[in-house]
Amino acid sequence: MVTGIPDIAAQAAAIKTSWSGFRMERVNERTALWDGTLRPFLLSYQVRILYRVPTVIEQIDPFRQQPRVRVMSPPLRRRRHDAEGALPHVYWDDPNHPALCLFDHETGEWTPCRLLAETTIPWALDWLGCYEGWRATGEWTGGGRHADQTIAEGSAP
Amino acid sequence: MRLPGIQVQHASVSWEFNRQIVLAKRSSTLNFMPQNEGKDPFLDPLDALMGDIAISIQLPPGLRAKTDDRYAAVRARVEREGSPLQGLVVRFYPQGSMAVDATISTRGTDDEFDLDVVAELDIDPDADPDTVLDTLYEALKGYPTSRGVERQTRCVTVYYSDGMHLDITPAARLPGGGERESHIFHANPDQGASQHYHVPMNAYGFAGWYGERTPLEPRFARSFNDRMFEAYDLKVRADAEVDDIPDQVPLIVKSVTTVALQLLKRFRNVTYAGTKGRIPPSVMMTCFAGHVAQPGVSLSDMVILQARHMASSIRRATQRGEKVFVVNPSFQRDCFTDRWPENISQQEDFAAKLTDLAEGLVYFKKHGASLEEMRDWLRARFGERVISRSLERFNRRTGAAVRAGGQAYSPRGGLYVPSAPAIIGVGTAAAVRSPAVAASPHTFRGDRP
Repeated sequence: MVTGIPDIAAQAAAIKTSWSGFRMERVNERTALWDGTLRPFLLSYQVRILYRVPTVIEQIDPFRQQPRVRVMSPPLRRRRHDAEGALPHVYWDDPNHPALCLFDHETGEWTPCRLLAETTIPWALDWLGCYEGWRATGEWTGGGRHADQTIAEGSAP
Repeated sequence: MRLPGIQVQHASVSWEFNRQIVLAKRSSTLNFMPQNEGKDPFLDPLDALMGDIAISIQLPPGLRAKTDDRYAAVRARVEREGSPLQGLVVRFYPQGSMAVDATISTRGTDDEFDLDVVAELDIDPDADPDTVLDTLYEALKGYPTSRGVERQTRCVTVYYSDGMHLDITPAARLPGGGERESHIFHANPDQGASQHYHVPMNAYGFAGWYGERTPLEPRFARSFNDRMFEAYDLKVRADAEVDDIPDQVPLIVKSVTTVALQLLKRFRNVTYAGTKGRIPPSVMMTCFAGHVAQPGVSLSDMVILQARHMASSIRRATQRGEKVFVVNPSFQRDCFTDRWPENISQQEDFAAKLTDLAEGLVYFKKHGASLEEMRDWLRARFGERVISRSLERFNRRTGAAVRAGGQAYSPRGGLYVPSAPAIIGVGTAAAVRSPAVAASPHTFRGDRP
């Protein structure tokens, strides 16, 4: 049971326990990168998670503080003129490697108090499963809602 | 009334279904042998996809429920008062795919089904084939179905408006032969009497042989049937044991061997679509499947195993300069390859197709592929509509689980949708490794499209 905001060591320990395919690279005391493999169905994806633990003096802001999850390979494929967008449920902060948007920051589904091993990584796996289904059938079945323009045009994480 | 040239052998009449006997044998086998629970095909993504394809090609439970009534109605018609076969029907019993629960949609269709039944008649097994078939046709002519009745070379077909075709093959027991060893009658109406002949067969014995080699795999069967009923908006009672499934929702599919066989038959139908002439016979493929039956093997591995076994058996025949020759293990005179292949080139073509299928699946298992890549490959081998439907079902099930938090994860980063909890409780859970973490619902967001 983790109380308060888990630090990098706590996050790393939880990931190591549950997701053996992930390796951490420490950026600094409060920031780390994890590279790992997720294989929702038959294809493996290399994903990268960048996360900075907020300080206690920072106001909790899940939108801004959320872990950034990017698919490094294979490249995510887009579909023009799709009702869900060229690539559903991402933030286009980096056109080559958009960040996956895995939760609703307005409903408290995720806060810095939660472990990435229990949220970010499995939710990325869910996203990849829905992405594959969308590519194969044209239907995004995982639900979700798109941010309104003002949020989307704000600072992406 | 007696037919000219047809002598009565015996007059006992009983109503009996081959399939029931086969199942009884299966049950007794289960009592004496350690039972292999089988694998839940929906825990592995490739198996799950193959399972969804198999569900799409199955005889729908609603149509299946009509079969027994239709057998009874057709039999009643054949032996009605005034029928030329009145008093001559010994028994009706399913044969072919229906007898081994391996029915799939008919070649060239996605929603029509051929079901085969033997009408054992109390007649001379050496009676004139044309006369026997004509007489059966006379007995069935005018049967109340909107799509008519048709005389064929070895059977009479009753066509139903819902896509079912019931082939009734007349047969006569051979004197002194083993149980149900019979003759059926071959008479192409367009050919002269010199080309009419009798064909030895024992469909009953073959179904029994196959049934004994493919015992019920409870975990596999529960999971597969649950998914199938789900696809047709039916529900298996969650607390039912395998032997207690209510009659209205029977365990239609029982073994991984049979589901793999269905997939291979579908593959054959699709890859030979558009070609004329005979195709590799289902009964030959069923025999090959029975020889390599292995409870507990994964579905994709069983498809690969059967495809390779069929291909290698054919190639061994080719190396000897012979056509492949397969006989009924329960009755050696019953040849399953009497009408196909016509030549060695035909069998080599089929072996090459089977090898392509097996190697493709091996490649996917080894190197992986996206669902999108799989879709295009599978469409060419199992049919566009069926694959689209199967992928949609797969995708919607995944999405529904993600929305509800019903999905599960493997420690290596895999995603799967387990069977309903009540079904897992029957025995699936033990086969699933401890999940990495528990799933929880969450809401995807993102930029405006």
